[in-house]
Amino acid sequence: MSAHIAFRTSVVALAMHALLFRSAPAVAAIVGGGGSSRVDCLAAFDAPVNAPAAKPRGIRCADGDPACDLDGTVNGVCNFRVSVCANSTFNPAACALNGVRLITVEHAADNGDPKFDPEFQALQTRIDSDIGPYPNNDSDACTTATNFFVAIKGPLKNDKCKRNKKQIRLIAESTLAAGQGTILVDKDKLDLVCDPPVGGCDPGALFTGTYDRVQRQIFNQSCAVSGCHDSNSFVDAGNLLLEASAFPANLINRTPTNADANGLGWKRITQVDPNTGDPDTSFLMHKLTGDLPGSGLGARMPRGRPKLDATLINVMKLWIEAGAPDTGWVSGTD
Amino acid sequence: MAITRRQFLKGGGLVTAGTLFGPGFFGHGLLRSAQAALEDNDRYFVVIFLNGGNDGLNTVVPVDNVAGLRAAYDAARSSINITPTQLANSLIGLDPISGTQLGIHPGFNVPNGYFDNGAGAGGLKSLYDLGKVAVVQGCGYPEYSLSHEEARIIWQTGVPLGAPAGTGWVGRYLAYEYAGNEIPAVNIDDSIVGEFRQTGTSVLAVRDLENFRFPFDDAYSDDDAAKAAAFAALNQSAVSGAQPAALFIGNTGLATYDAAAAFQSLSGLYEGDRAAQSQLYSDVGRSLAYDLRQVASVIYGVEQGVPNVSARFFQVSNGGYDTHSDQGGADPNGQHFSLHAELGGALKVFYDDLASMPGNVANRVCVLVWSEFSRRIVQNQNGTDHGSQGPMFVIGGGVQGGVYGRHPNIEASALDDEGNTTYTQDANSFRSTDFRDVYGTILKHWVNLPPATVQTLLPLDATAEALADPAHYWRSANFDLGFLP
Repeated sequence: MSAHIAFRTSVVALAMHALLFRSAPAVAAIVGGGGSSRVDCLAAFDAPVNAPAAKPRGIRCADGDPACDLDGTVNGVCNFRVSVCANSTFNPAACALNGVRLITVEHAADNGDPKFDPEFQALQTRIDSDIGPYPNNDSDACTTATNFFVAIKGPLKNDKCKRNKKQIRLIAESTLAAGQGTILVDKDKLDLVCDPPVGGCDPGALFTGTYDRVQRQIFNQSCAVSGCHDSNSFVDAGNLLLEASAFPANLINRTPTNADANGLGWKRITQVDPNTGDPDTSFLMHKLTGDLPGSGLGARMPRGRPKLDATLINVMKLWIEAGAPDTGWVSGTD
Repeated sequence: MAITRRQFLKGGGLVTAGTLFGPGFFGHGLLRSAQAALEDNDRYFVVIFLNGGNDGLNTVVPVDNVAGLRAAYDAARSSINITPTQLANSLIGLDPISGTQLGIHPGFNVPNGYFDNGAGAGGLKSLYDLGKVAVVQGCGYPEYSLSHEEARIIWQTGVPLGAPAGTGWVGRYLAYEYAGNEIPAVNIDDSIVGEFRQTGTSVLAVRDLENFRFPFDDAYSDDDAAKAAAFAALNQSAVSGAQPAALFIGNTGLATYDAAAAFQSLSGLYEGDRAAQSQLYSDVGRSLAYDLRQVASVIYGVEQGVPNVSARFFQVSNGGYDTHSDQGGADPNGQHFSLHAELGGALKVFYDDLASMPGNVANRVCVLVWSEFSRRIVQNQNGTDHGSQGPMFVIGGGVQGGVYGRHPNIEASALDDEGNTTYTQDANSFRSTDFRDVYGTILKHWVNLPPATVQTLLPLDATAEALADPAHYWRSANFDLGFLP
């Protein structure tokens, strides 16, 4: 006998309790996450939702706003905490289902998925540990809260920056018993939006130094991603690991694995002395600009994606010219 | 009659150890059936795989700074560090060479009430205090991989260099020891896991014992008996011939057929006789506890003499250790705390369960805990990335508890280009423990294999690089690490 799988979605929001966060407008609430209200209780989010104001179903926060950014400091990143609940009783009149056979977080597997995010993976682990093993028939079975960090976009030219968004997407499946012979599916979304800080996007305020900016704004966002230069995949990406905790030994004056770059005498980053470097013989620089004479030097980076913003390429250039220091500000990059 | 299969082989003069693995040998039907049901000891072995790469540095933590390890730790772990105060209730022994006081993660000393009804309280720390846990530090191998899949296969096969081996290290032992119509091993999984893969005997992979049965058809249940008889006859016919492939299929088919009837009853037998112990696994309420309860159910069935159940080797796994994000330090709400609480709480319930079975089975069970790698020494913003050497645990009533092996060198200057600790077999104060020495110690001291045979199952590194540089490769085995007598 095969089970019918029904896909239904809905929107419901109801404030439940206000414990976790310091002040209004963020109020911890259970939100269904969208879809048909009849199945919306299979999985729900427990989060300090505040947007849109009339009917909150997501979190929106300016970087550093102590009312909603948990780190409370202007650092280019908003910190949110989100729990997931199974068999929620937040709206029993509409949905009283009790019985979940699986909850899956999208983009939670580091398998080359360009949308993979370790924070989705951490949420999946929480769900597996706190709501699993399945089936779970307990009412309001909730996870411990998981941290999410949303970095603003930028700053780029003239220190301009834009809001950025992370969207958590869940798929919850009911047990056959709960669905009375049918597997019901509840698809949920939660938007986490980080707005630029009220005072603007001065890099000197957002980052601790030039390397911190290079790491967080360039490497973390465009290079150390699934299938590329992260721990799981870097061996197949020129053996170049660009996660924060690997710097600087793998970059400074290291010979690239690319034979042609090696033949040209280039290094990954060429440091002449601690205060001087040479972008022209730094393979990393060529990879970002696309100045790659001959096919043997491989593709421009980030591979298959738009060229890095000119402002960031210039930050990289100035940083390398200054010897790629791991602390302090290089003039022109702050 | 307690004759071992090895004794039988020797007495028969048919083969020597060196030729045991030839396919022709295993294809010999007469020999295979003659080997059936010859058991040579009453011990059990359980492998627990921590999937994702467990952070070794926050699993076994330097507490004091006598050799500079604590200062290096604090420099590397800015926000997920575990303080000496937080480690006060989970101290273990000293690092053997440096004398540094070590502590295990506070999650291993589960507070009473963390799980329902106080189940698992004290966790791994309470077993350590009983002298039943060996903490083996700095386990790794040369030319390490940071890829989950590659590293997992290396640990499962016991072959880090060159082409991947097609068989697992436990599997090679099973194929050496058991015949095709036996089921010496059970994996609580959907398919046979890497370290149990082999081609000589039968391994059962089952997610849920209760529902394990011959695949009858619910829609036509009135002809179940006819289907079963047909399946049995088919396999009987296959084993009556001499064609190796048919023999293999027939033997494994018959083993599966017998197992389907026998294993299904184990859960009910266990629940009926040991309801109180079963409840403790439910109180822990995590998947690892449920999986270990299934292992306990099989062991109990073997102990009770259930026909056609003779499994002695088991594997379970637990995921979630890939803590790039939201790892947490000592906070009980942290992800790593939760994982360690689950492991320690489940093991405590499992150990107590076995210890209270007639004949104190805990003294005859050895549990090995491993992960495919440790994690980066320097943390990232919110967690840790993939690393190299990490600790293993060996747990059991027959284990000589304590700290074995040396803590890796975590000084920034000692790390490699990727920021990870380095593997060395040089006799310096940070010498690594090769994980194959841990496996070999178990094969030699737990299942009592002759050392020469252990070495055959766990071949030394033999690439040109290894031959030229014995200080950085596994060129000299030590199957006497000391955690088993």
